[in-house]
Amino acid sequence: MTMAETIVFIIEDDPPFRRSTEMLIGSTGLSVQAFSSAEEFLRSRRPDVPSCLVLDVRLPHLSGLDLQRELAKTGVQIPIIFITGHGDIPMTVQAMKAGASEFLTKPFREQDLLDAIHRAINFDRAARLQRAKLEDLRRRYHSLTAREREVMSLVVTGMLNKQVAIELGTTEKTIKVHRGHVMQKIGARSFADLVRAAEKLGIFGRTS
Amino acid sequence: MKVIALMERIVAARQRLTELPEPSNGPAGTESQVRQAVRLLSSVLGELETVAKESKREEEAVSENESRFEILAETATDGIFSIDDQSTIRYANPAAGLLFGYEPNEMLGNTLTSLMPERLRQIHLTSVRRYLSTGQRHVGWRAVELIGLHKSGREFPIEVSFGEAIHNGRHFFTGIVRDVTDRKRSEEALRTSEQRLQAIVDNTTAVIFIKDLELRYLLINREYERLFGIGREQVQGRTDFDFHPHDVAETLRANDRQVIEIGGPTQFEEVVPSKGSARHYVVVKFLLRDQANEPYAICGIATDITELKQAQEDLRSTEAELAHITRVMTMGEITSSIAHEINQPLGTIVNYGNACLRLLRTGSADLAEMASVLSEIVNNANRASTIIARIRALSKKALPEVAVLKVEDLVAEILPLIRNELTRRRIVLKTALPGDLPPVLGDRIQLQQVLLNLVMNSVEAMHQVPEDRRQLSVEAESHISEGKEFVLVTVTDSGIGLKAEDLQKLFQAFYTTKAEGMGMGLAICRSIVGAHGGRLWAEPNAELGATFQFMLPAQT
Repeated sequence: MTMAETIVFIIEDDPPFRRSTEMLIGSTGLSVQAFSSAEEFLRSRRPDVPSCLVLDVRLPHLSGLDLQRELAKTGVQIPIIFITGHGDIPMTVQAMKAGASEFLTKPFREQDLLDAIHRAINFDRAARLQRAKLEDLRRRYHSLTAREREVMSLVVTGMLNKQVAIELGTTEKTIKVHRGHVMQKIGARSFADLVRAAEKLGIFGRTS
Repeated sequence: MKVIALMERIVAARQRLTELPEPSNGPAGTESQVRQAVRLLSSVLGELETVAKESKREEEAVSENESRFEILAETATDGIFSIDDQSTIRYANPAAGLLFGYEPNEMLGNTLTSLMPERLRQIHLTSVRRYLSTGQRHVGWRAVELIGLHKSGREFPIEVSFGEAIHNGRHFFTGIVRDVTDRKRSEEALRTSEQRLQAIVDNTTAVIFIKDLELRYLLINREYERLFGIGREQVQGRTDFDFHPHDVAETLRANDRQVIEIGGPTQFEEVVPSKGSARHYVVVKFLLRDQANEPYAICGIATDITELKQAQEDLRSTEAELAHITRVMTMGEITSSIAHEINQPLGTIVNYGNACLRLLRTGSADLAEMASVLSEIVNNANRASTIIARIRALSKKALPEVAVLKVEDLVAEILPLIRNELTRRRIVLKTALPGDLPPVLGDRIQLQQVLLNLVMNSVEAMHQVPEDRRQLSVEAESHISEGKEFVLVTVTDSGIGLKAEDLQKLFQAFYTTKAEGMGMGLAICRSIVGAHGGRLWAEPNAELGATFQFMLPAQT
């Protein structure tokens, strides 16, 4: 994992604690960017690299849990490590249900934080890769003609070319040509590849 | 005497006449004999004349004396008797008659014992007899108190002075008698009153003493004797320094002197050890004055208030205990906030420490950076310990300690403990605490308890109010009431407010609107503020929430 390509965001309103966390994480060679409020974080322009957010639960105005909701609503996907001075169970449950990757109580063990950060960044990196692949697949799917999309949606259900031809009221040969284009444009090397792609695109079993 | 001498001479002259020889027949002899007899008779007659003259003179003198005595005796208001050695009344003046209910002449010839109660008669007769035979008196002769018997049979107290005269070998006694019924009665009344006073003084639970102006004891009552194990004869002329420890005696002396100086009655609280334990007294000391209004002694009446003191002390400690319990309960409500407030600096310290270790291990430590980080660590450690000290102070069970305090400091010290609670509950806090407020006199912990209680009540009152409407304000200002300066503290919230029925009972013990409340918080707050000479009250706001205010006398 190359550190330079990652970043850890911190949102903490208590200045000494914010500075100390910044220094601790920075001392491991990770890039750190610290904010004193959720609003400040939301206004910032953040580099698009694998990252995670170390977030204090109890922030004035917009709290940590509020920010978590806000980010989810606007589709910002970033692993969140919650920290709190004194965590109660309902709060922890709420945060974890909403997808927090970790919940640490101050003062936390250094290793717990660093492990959590590494896990979160790796997760984010993987998620980003996942998202990039899906993006690529979507682009490919969008390059299909309407007829090709129809063919693809039927083929992945396991129908034979002949059945598809009957379904679409055309010849088996025409279907075969469309199918070849679909395989090429989606980048599927096998029928199994195509089914998986359809699954990812969420068009599996879709009938038009 | 002269009469006797004359009689003797007459007897001698007669003797000589009888011894004259029978007249002889010769004229010469007869003539000389007659001449001799004539000479004798003439001398006797001369003597007789002299005696008669003298006796007349004496008689005149006696009658003058007698008439003078008569006037005195007849007009005297005291009864005058004269008796012979047989106790027979020879003379009684009119006053004597009045005294005993007789006509004066009626008494003459009676024995004196008729004027005495039966039981005393024999004693009188025996005593007179003994005196006559031995000269020994059984009573004094001046102002002797005896009992008289009135003709009516009524006995009455008399005072008699005796005189004695011996006439021709016979003893005569004169008595001057005075009715002392009134005097006896007033003496009796005085004695009764004195006995009554003595009985009161001796039977009261108060300790009473009288000292002269040199502070030497003149008198103590029985309670004093009992308490200090000392008799009233023993204290005479001695001072407190003889019975009490030196420092105690000095205090007592200072108080006594103050009373002598001021002149009016003064009340003191004195602590005097008795039988091994300190006793508290409330003492009223005042001066005793003679008829010229000159002070001659100082009197003290002391009431033992040791039990009262103890009860007050117990009450105070019970109140303190109750205050402590509610304080700890209130603290319990903000544990999470407090934990946060401590964990914050601790987390900071741990983070900095770990960062430094890492930098040192990797050799990338910068000395200047290390120094600044270490001072951050120290700051945060201090921050944590300050919070802990405040919590410890608030949780401490201690009797009140009075100090000069600034209200803004009291608030500032409380706020960190609840800051996180406010953040968590989305409460916006506004404070207005001018730095130029006059200080107040009071117990830091108790006043902080009041603040904490009011603030936490407000916090809870906003629980059901939408988050964006939760506002808390803590303000302090100088306030003049009835010409005196106070510091007025106002805690306002935008909570659910107060109902009219709540307002009535808000400050009563065990009244609570909270599910888990004990209902002691505000009752104790009011008693704390009251004990500080202040006032605590509440009122609903015009729109949202409630306002609690208390004012404390400014220390100027």
